[in-house]
Amino acid sequence: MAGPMAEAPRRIGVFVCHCGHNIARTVDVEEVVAKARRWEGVVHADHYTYMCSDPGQRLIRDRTAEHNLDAIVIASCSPRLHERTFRRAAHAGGLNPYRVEMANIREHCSWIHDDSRQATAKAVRITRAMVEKVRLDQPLEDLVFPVTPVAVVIGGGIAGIQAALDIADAGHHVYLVERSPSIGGNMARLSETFPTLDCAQCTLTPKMVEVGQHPNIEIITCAEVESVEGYVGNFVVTIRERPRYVDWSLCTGCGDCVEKCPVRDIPSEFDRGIGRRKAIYTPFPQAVPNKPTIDPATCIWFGPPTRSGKKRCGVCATICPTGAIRFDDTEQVRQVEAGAIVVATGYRLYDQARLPEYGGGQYPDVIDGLQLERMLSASGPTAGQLRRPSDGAPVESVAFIQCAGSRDVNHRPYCSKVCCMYTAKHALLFKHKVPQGKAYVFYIDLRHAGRDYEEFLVRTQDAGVRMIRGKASRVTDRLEAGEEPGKLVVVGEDTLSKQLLRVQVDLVVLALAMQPADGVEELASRLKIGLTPDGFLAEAHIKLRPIESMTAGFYLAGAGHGPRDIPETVAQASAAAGKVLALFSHDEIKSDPAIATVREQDCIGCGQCLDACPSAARSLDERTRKVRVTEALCLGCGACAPACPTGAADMLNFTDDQLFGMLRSVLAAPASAER
Amino acid sequence: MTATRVPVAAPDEPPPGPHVPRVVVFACNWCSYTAADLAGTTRLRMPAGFTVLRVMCSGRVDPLYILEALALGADAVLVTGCHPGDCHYSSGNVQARRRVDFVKQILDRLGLSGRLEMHHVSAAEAPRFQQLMTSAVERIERLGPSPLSAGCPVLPPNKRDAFCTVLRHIAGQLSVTPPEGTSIEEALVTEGFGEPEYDVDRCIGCGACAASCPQHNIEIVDADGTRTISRFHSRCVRCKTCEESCPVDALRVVPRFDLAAFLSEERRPALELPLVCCARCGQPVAPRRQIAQLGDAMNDHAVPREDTMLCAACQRRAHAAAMRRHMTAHRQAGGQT
Amino acid sequence: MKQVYLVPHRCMGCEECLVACEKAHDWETRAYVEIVDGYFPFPMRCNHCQDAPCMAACPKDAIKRSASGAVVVDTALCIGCGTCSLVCPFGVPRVSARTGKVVKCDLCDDRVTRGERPICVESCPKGALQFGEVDEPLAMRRQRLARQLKGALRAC
Repeated sequence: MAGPMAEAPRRIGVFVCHCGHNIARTVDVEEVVAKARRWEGVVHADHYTYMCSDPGQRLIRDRTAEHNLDAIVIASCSPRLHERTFRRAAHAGGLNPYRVEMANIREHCSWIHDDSRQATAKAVRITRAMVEKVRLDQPLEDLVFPVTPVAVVIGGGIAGIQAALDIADAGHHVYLVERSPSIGGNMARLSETFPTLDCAQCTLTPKMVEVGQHPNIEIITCAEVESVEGYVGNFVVTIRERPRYVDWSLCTGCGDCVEKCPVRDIPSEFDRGIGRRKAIYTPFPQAVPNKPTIDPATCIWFGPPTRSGKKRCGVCATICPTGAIRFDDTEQVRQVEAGAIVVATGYRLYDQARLPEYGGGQYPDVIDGLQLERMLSASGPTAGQLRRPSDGAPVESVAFIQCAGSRDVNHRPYCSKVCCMYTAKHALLFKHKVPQGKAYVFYIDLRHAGRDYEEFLVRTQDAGVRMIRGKASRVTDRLEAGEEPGKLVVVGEDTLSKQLLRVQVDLVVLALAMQPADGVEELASRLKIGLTPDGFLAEAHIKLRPIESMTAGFYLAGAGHGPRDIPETVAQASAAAGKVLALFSHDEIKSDPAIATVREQDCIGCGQCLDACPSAARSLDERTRKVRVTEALCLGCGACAPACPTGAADMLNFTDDQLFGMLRSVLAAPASAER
Repeated sequence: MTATRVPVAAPDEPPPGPHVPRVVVFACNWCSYTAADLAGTTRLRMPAGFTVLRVMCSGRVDPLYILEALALGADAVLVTGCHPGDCHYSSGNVQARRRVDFVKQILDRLGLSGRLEMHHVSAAEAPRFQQLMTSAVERIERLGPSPLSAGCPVLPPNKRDAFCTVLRHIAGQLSVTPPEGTSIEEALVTEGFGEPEYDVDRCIGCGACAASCPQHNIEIVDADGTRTISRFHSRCVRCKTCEESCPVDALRVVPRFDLAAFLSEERRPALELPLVCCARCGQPVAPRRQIAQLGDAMNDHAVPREDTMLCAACQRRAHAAAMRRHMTAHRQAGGQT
Repeated sequence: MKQVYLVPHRCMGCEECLVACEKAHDWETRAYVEIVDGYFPFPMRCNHCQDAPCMAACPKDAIKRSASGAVVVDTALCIGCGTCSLVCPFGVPRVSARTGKVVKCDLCDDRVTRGERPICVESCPKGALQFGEVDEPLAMRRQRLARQLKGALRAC
């Protein structure tokens, strides 16, 4: 940053480029030079055939040194092309690179106008405007920030796991923060994954174990990130850990406490209600860390005491061989320093109850894909048997309803991408388990784009799964004459054969829309990172910067960014890790110094500029009632300055005074000569 | 803004000829400026009557720049930026749009329509850029040159003062006196323009708003036993300091821009409250309402009574006199000092 | 609590206390000198009442008691409504036209905390202003009387 306002340049040089014929054919470069020589502060003006060439750059360097120039304007092509080139050349001549401006007299003049007189007059006008701008340019220095080479990964699903492993393998410390008691996320719930039907646990568990044993990764479960202060390279992250009521440093994972716990009918979160857990529990057998926690809401000890005031139960504490039960556990808050944060918060499914037309939340035999996964899983609550939740009877027929809540302006407008594949998988797995069973898929479109995905669909169809093109309209238990009691009816239309259908099935599986995980909205506002209108994490640029958030230092991975399958998630997680490692590969990072400023004496602390900033770089100091800019976060767009009513907000080297100077010079001379 | 004013050399004597349009184009570095570059690279011909000024983001364009450009004699101003959703800085173009729409509202009321536009141009849309420049210049050829001749007054360093100066200059040049009540629709008013609105039933006239306003926008005048609270519309910057300072929540600062009030610098009265005057010297002390509501806050303390109310100076004098009498009596009674 | 108290016959109305207060407080004095009956000068400042009505009445709770016992206005919270000015029986606080906040004697809290005396006391050329515990003047009087007695006895 420049310190206090440096003295305005007094020795300005103007270099006009011919660009061979490109400029010189239409613009009279000598006249531009002659005019420039008459402008106040211009002590040297010259022209040359190719300014960007080696001799051209040498000319700039030499003349700058020779005439002791303290600012230069190069009238040539677009700054988007050669600004960096000329800044470097001037710097070699002893000039501050931020006192170099380019006047675009090629793309914006000689190439678009034919009349030489008009083009020359316009070239003079453009060049003069840039001389007015350079007059007020500050001699800026690149901003430099140190980097703490430690990462925090928020979310312990497959995305967080992959990102953590990649960063840790490169030798940097990672804090993996996960809300639930174990890492694994949604992938741990799956039975088999498409298109290979690999066992999900078999592919995931080795990675989970690797994370658990990695010397560079510290897993913090039952924890959430409460706040992040600071900026890229220099974050202070506050993590709040919930009490587990079990001392994991003493616990050996023997499981005796779980076996003896008398509370046995709590719906399991991991099994999404299909299975049951105890009040003290480990979420699933392959959990990492494989240690139990107590749910105080359902544990008897935390409930009403006896009449004499004694706590009830406490069997787990009695039985524990290492005395690891800690009923007096409290929450812990800790702060860690980090340089980068990967946000891998994952997804949840749309709430079934919002689709009453499908009996969501009404009929126990209407379930979603993840619940079915738990049933299909060999280590799940039904040991891989498909049973109707209502009466436990075996499932002989199943209907899959696609786009339940997706592609619907009344619910989620987007396509959830993976449902076509996982429904095909579900249908195929059903047929494997119940070869004579009937499977129907009600679809709008079939979206199987991916390696081996189309082939998988063919395999599914070959297995006898009936694909019905038509969005199901209703699931009901109101039967018509001749229909079998005890089975649900799916009402739909086969649009290809133009028939209305009523199909009776034992089980209905809804392919519910994928949504960002619960609580992401609050997390994003605490972290000050953006969300898309659909609530997913927002990337810096939808095409070319899909891994970074708008806010520097935050990287996105996985389904928190949008619906995607496992290979994409893993790829994105590694990409995020790559970005993090690029950041960590320097001890310091440099940043463009042309950023926003606050003139404190004019700032009245109204805060209207805060909302205008897209990267939360501005903050109001409550004590002094003045606005501050966090340099590392400022993107240099300048949108804050027009919001400021007193003019305290401005932007370095794009100041209000510079813009006024340019306007005056462009408009001071009437343009009658150009016709 | 600093006080630096940069001298510009006098223009050459122009040869006589038909007026050539002077259109100022603000283009954002990432989209529209790049589109202009691409138009150049593909040699798309355009009339010469426009000049492009590069900003990093269209959100940088201050309403004051637009007005200043027009005041300096620009025939038209085009603000170009990225398409909604594409802004390199996510929301700058949306803010630019809002600010341009706001200035358009002002210009309409000044009778200077048709000389300001905002267009969204992506970096690939070179032919569109060509078409926009061509049609802008052609439209000015039809519409005629700007009725404002070059020669804007030097802008004062304070930004609000500069805005008022340019606005009044333009209105003066056009001989426009907008009728009363020409407020712009609230949703279209951008940052920095507003007016404090008083709940006339709640206000106790204490003057905290006037004391706290950093712009000295609120004026309190005590005359003939009445306190009048009024505001200058052009000074309010919508900082809401007055709203936060009001002890009885009687103030709301609303977005507002009333051109007539802005130009005339008149006081806009908000409310009047009867004053209680000093029982001794007759100087106004405080509004009756402020004294009346003291009782609630005072608990067991003696609440000042309206009929015996003294101003602070008379209060001091009375106290000093009482002490003097006390000391005299004390000494006469033989007490030591 | 230590307070500023007046030895009235020593005051000559020079207003040196006003000037010293002004210099120490951002060029706005918090002290007054009232003239009674045309020529008796009576210096006044905030009495830092034990049960201050200004503290009770302030709508923003901006008036608090400092560690040294002085009644002090927190200018960050003050909104300049003038309520304290209305309720003070001595007419001491006033709203500054310059800052829009209340100016009131703070018993030179920063000096007193360092063990020094308020600037008005320090600057009074005649010692009309003294700084001490409330009952100190009585104690001093007793001391003086005792000394006088002692002197008278010795003369006998």
